[in-house]
Amino acid sequence: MKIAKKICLIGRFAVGKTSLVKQFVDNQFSEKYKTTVGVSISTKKLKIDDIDLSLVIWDIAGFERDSHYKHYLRGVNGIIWVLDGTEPESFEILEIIEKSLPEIKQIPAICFVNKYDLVKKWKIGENEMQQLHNSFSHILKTSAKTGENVETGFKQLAEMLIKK
Amino acid sequence: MMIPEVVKHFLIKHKKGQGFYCVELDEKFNAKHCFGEAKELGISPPRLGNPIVDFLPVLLTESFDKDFEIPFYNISDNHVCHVYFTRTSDRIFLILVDKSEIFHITKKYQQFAHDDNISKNMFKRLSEDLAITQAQLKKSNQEKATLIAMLSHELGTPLTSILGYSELLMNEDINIKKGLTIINRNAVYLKQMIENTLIFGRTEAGGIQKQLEKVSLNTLFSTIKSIVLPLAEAKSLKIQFDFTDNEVINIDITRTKQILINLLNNAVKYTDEGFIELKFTIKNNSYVFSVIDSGIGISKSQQINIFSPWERIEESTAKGAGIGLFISQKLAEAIGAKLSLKYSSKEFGSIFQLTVPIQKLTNLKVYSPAETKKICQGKSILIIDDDPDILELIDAFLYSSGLKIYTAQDMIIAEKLLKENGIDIILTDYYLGNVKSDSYVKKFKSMQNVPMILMTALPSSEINIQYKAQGFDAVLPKPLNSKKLIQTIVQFITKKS
Repeated sequence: MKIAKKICLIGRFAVGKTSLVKQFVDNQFSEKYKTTVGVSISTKKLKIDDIDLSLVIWDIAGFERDSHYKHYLRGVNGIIWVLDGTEPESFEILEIIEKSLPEIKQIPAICFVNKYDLVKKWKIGENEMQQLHNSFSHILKTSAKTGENVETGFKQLAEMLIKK
Repeated sequence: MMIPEVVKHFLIKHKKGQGFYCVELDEKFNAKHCFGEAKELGISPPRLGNPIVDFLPVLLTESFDKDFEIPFYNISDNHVCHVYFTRTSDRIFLILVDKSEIFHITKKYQQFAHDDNISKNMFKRLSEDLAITQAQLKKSNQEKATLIAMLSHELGTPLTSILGYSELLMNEDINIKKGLTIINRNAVYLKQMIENTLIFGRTEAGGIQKQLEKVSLNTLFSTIKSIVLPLAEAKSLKIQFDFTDNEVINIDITRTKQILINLLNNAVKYTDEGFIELKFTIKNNSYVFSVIDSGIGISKSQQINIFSPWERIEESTAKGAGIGLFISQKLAEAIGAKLSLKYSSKEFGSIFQLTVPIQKLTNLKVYSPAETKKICQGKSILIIDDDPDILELIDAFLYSSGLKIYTAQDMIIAEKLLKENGIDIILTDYYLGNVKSDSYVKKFKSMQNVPMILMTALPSSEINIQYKAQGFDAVLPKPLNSKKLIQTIVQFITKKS
């Protein structure tokens, strides 16, 4: 059976959304920060059980305004929230977006706390992690640089979408 | 083909003078007609009759049930367009409007703004880290100032007794035994204070290194007893040492002894009647030392901070700087052990427990005095230290080893001795007046390829790596342990032979 699912990456700018996609799709990483304007869309084919799944991955520019997401989230099947362990401010986006788009909570979602390669510089405490555990059943500490948990995370979301 | 009127109106509304490409779709969303130049947008035109998804895979998950738009869709690094899907009563269109120009301008400004923001955040983090470091430094300075103030007072008290009673003894104004007992007691206390202060300095510098050695429980406990017994007897306290077998254990003797003496000293200090006990057991693959007393106990509120520096039991008038437990815990951490308060109450006193994970006895060969003499016979050592007392002490340590001993108080004499004599091993201090011995390692090794052992007061794993990178073959901590010194020398001489 062949199916296609649309997933969107949401997060503040410079948390590593584009790098995560690049790592997952092309196994590549670049240290240089390049801002995303609008949306960059990639596809990745996965085989889960007997299903040929095409993941259409929407890497949306990092803004903290709900109006920005309106056009891109239409028809989305799953969301990857991307936070930056070194920037506690990046956690604020969850509250901002969920407040203005409450329906977003109904969409299957997973959370990446990225930049795990810089774990010594992480500034998040127990409170932030607890808040995440209250909101997500799947939280992964990822590194777009080393690839740690990146494929696992995308696959976990893919499995959630298939089972749904 | 003529552009349909409906598309013209749409473009007037959305295009704003830029390039476009339009695909008319049939009811099954297959490409039917095309309008505009696909090349200008960096794309290949669709095959007529094929599904539109083949042309734009991004549409794979679209249901096409409503009009929609995808702003700033990145076709490639250079081409960006707004994608519109729209339908009239009888026609369906997919329109791509070129937004590359505005995209590049937006990207430039956005990149600048984000880079600026990232730099600001980085600066903010650095400032926060700096503030934390400053606060730590301030706290550390305050603690040191408190320590100096405490020490001025604490060291002054026993010194007054020592000087006073020695004067009385010199004038024969006091019974000799009584006078010496008081002097000895105060000297022991003074020694303890100085040792604690030195260790406090080392813990602050992060410079404690674990050194495992074999020792029998009898030997360990006898040394501890000789220090603590006079203090306990002075207060008529019963002191008991409880262990079943005289086992040989592998531990950091110096640190373990220091911790247990600190604990026992505290026990004596805070116990006015009853007993003090040091108990040894083996539990869960660990050596467990328990210091039990029938003293005044520690209140619940004080138990929280009992291992912080400058904490003393409020109810007591006992003297002390309040760094004993803090130091003991730091020492325990340094040797991989755990120090904890197991129990405390006003009624029954306290139990402190030191738990040391058992480490396998090392297989390093231990040489007997006879073997040492045999190996060292005819070999020579050059000892370099600017302190004549230390030179004399090491000379005495090595007296029975059979080694020929050369001593030098500076590097000029050392170099001369090295030129004129065959030397098998060099033992040197790090600081020799204004000279550091590391600057001579290469020179001395090029003169005679001899192993060089460094003596230093502050060895740590990091510092050892640094010294070894400078060319030293081994690092021994000060104060020197005579047995360890001889064993190290013998090992190097054996290796060289």
